[in-house]
Amino acid sequence: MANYALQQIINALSAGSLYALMAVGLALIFSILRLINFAHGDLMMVAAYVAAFALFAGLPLPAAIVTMLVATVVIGLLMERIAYRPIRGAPDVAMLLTSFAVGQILQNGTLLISRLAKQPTQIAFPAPDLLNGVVSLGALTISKVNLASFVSGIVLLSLLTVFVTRTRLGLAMHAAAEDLGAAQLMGIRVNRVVASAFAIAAALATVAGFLYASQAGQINPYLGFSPVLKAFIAAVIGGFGSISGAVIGGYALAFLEIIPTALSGIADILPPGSVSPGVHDLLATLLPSGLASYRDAFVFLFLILMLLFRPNGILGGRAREETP
Amino acid sequence: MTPRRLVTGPLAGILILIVGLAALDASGLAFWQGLVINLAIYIVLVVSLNLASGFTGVFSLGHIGFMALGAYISAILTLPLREKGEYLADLPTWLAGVHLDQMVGPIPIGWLAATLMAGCLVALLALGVGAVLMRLSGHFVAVATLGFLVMVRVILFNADGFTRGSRTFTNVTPYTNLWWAWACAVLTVYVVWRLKRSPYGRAMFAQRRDRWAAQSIGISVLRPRLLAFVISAFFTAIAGSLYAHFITSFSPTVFYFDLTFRVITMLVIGGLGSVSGSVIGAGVVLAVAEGLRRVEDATLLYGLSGILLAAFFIVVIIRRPGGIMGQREISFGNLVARFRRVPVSGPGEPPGAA
Amino acid sequence: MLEIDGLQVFYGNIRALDGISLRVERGELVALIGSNGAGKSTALKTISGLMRSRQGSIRYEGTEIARESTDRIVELGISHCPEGRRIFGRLTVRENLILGGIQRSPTESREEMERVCEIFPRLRERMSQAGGTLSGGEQQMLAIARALMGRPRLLLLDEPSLGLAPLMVEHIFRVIEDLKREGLTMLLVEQNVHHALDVADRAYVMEAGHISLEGPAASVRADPQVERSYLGH
Repeated sequence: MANYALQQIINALSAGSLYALMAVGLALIFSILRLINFAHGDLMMVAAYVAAFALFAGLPLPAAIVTMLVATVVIGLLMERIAYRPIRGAPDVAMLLTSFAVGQILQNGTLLISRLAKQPTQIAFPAPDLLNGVVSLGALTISKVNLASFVSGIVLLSLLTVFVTRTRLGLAMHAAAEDLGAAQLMGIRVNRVVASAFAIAAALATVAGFLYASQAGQINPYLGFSPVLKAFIAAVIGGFGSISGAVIGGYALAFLEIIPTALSGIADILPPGSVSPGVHDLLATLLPSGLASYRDAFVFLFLILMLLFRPNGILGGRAREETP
Repeated sequence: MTPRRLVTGPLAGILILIVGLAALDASGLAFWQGLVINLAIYIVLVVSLNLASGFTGVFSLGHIGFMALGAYISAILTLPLREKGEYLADLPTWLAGVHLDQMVGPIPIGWLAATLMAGCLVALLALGVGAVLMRLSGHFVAVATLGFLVMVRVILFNADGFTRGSRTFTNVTPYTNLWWAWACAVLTVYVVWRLKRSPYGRAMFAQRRDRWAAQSIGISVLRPRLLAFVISAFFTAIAGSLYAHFITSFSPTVFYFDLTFRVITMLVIGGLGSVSGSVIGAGVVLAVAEGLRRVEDATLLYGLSGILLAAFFIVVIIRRPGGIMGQREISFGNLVARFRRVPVSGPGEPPGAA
Repeated sequence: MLEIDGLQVFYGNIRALDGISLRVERGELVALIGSNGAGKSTALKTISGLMRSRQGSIRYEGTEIARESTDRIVELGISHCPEGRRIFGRLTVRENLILGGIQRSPTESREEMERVCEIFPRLRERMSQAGGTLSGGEQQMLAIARALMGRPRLLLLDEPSLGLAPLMVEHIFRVIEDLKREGLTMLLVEQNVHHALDVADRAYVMEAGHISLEGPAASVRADPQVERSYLGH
């Protein structure tokens, strides 16, 4: 039982790292532009595909990774320049819908290129050997991918924190996030700051995408949808708009997700005699084994509750002016 | 405008529609019939979404969830006993015996009843969902409603005793034809149009433009939003039933994001807040989509239509966010006047007024 | 130094500035007074590039800047201390100041920070405090200090005395006088007409988007209309 719990915790930590990486990217852009970039998940997907195709083409792993990074960042910058800059200041929903449209372009574009390259819709992701297999720590086994996710998460998020708090560009981003007009008056080149935010978000999405694909084993053009929703939920849990909040939210979400998985079928795994038969039957009815598949629904329900009662995240904090 | 002019315009339109449908029906061109039925269903979807989102400015991204529920509920109800036994063997007994497949002459009463029931049930659900979600605003309500879409999908996948889960739900009787589809479309357009001109409609638009101002003069924000949400859910569910009984086999994957985005594209291009805009938008986008689909089939460049439609959408949002019609409606009086090159007379109600 | 000619500015379809013309000579302190909604703040925002004019010209030291971006305008030496201060409440005083001088090199920035702390010693005490925790008067000082960080040649001040206690207002205007004595050119928008006309060389009176009166501060002060409307005599 303790092993099971520990295993779940480790899974949650690694999933949390991925969620945090994605949520931070989302939060970074939202904090400055008030834009929820739903195409963020599709950046992940594009990163995975570029890596896959680069590896198929025979590029060595480091080259493939660099290619993937460059391609994704370029696409992120293009997306900002072409689709988002012209509508800066537009109502929130207009920007949200535009991000959906951008996502559609990325998804269909990938589908198209995939077809042209004579590939099926779903392809196997050529995860590097480095990430295959498991590592043993005493009685626990951790998959290498999970370990890599956790480590990357910690490293990248630390780097990002240093960047944001110590560099001038990071400071400018903070300023832009708090008051875009005042930041402009400082002589800050807002366009450059926004572009940097997108570049950073894209870079984070690249790492998240690579790890996600390695874990999933298969990629398809629509894989970005679920992660971006999760990233959004994570960001909301953490109090949308702050980076530290996004990180907290990412891990919180991962742990939240364990609940239905862990509880489902709990009646089956409880050692016999530990609870009375009445309680046992109750648990079996309320938390049936099939509950795990309701995980997504559960998570969304939580999101809705959060938006209603705690729109500023678990930590609460200063009120955010609601957009009328 | 004189009362007579108010009525003759739309009446003429309906007459033309009836003649057109009769001709199409008799022609036997199955492809075009299918396309025109599709158009009707989309019109219902877009006009309903306009009511829920375009009028109030509160965007619902989860409406296709209502469509899915409408489809499944009505299909489960109308599935004849034999098919029920074969395909939905796990239905609870109270449902297993129901088969709304009765006909009275050419009129499929069973299906109509089932559709109505599905609509009402979904509307009831929407009342609950809306009471909760309509308090949110801006992009938060958009994402929360998206969550609703995901939840519906998860439930449909998991309740496979009712829905066959991820397997295709087949053998639905094709009750939907040109007449029923367009009757629903016309009904939806009529209801939403009337609603727009009613005090409720004005309240919706008022709180869209400025929520705080509306509240300060006593216009409840929740009530018009909720009303719009529930009514639109009703019609969206009806569209679901129309769809289910047109395409006769479907699964939860149909009612997800691609369809959502397509309907939104039609809505935005037509003009949020304009009923006639929604009709036009549906037509334009469907035509473009169909055309592009041919191109795809010919060139094997699958995915092209998706890219181009999305690009089209982005261009519209950037250059002409009001869409084709903005919030205006087609005024028949002005249309006629333009044909006759007669100056528009009458008490200064410009085409801009609701 | 600054020459505005026939400036027309719109908010959507509403005309906020109806062809105003004014000038500020080097070393002058020019006051822009008028009641609420007259368009004074709009004028400043248009000069600094936050808003775009539909028509008219803004010439700064001979260069046309009406179509320039804000960051370029700041580069040229114009600094705008906005209405409502708009300091970054979540950032520290030091960070606010760094942002004010962000176009300069870090070394120059450090020198400037020393200089503004001389002018506003209270800020030195509060360097690591979040801007939002400062009092109203301190925030105003921070806002002005921040605007000075870039060593501007023209300072636009928008309602610096708004919402401040009388003692603080006195202090602020003393600082403004000091800055003037050092030779800083300033365009001051103020509702506190009494103090504004005290420090100014020249003044313009704005009403509903256009200039209704202009001249040396003394004669504007003596104008009976001004006396009645703004000075309460």
